[in-house]
Amino acid sequence: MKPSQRPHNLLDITASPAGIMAGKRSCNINIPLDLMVEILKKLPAKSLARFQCVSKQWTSIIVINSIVTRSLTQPPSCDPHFIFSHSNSQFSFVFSHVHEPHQITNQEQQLYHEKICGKGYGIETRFQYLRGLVGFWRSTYWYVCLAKQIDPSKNLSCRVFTLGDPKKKWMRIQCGIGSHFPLDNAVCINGAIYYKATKMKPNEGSVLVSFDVRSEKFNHVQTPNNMTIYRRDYTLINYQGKLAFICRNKMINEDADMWVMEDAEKQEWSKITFFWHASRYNKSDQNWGCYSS
Amino acid sequence: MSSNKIVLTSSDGESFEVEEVVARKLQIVGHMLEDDCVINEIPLQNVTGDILSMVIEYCKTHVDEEESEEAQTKLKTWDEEFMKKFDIKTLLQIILAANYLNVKGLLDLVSQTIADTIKDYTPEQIREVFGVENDYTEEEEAEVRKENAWAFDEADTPKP
Repeated sequence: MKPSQRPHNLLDITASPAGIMAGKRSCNINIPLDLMVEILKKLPAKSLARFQCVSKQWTSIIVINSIVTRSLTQPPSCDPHFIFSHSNSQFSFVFSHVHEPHQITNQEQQLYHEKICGKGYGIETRFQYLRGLVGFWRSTYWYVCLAKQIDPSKNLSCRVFTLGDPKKKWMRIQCGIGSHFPLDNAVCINGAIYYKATKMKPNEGSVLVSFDVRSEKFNHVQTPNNMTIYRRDYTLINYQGKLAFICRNKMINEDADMWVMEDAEKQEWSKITFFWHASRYNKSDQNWGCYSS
Repeated sequence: MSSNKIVLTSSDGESFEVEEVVARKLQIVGHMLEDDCVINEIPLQNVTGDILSMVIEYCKTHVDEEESEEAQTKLKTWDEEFMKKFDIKTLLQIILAANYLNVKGLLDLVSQTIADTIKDYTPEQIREVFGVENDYTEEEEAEVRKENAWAFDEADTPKP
């Protein structure tokens, strides 16, 4: 019995069809593309930028494979750089761009996607879909679907779907913090999804809610000094691995405050003020859009 | 666990007698044993003896991976010390062998070690180690260097 043949060979550098990293000089070792990509993935952004000067081929490998790098200051992790979902009344998809995808079904775009809702996925149609949130912890991803029954007297219903689960089953979870209407702009930090929500009553201001994907528990997040924050006036971001939100400075409307939750357990906040020369811009309808990766 | 011995033979004819549990760490061998359980000598055509001996050393150490934190820490320290022994050329041969023999743990370990080794390399060093031909023209290269100037330490930045 012979060992199965692999497309590359230690002794014969011409043997590898995958070996586009091959050198011209015979003394060099031919590393197949898939292994090279694995190595490049583990490099910090600075090295990858520098290695674009190696050759056109290296640049194209770095660019075409959309190699996601770990940041210079943070340890390697499996956190996705972006993740988004797409839904309509028939189905829902989740897309993400991650270090180690569960499976890549769209080779060209290097995107993970999975159909999670629709016929045969166990979510009843009598629920009115409110919002889907994506959370992750280590390399497991959850899709949390908040829905309410069409009957308005009934409570919010929450379901969780674990991405990549072969059983493709939605689990019902208890909401526990009463009815709330989730708004856009959610961030996931250390396995907790933070999102803005309104109570069902108008003019009540919005609340900050967290959902821990590991314990499957919802919690209210105390705002700094219990300040009231209105839904359009602030944006949640992931600031160096901590929950933060940016809002207008109450005293000087042109400046921005960034509140950072220094301790998620104790819910302690610190404030950074930015001097923002917003007077140059149209002040009437400022939207605090902010993006982070 | 059976203490059945298996002989692994490298491309240059060197033979290693190892216990079956160790040989099974090489998934390529594991698959062969599942297909036909009477083999006791396995030729491995794509790996030389000196590299194979290092892979076997890794597999012997990792043969019974305990869950306890203490054991894990000990293994991690061993991995670090083990990797320190090799220069970049040897690391590249080990990654090829780990890929061919299908030893997942070693593949992860060695690809991380290679990344840590080359991360501060200059483009010239990368070209030399990986045998890459520079297909940029002088002007193109200057342009790419300018675009990525932040990634070069001052000493490497081309003088105007």
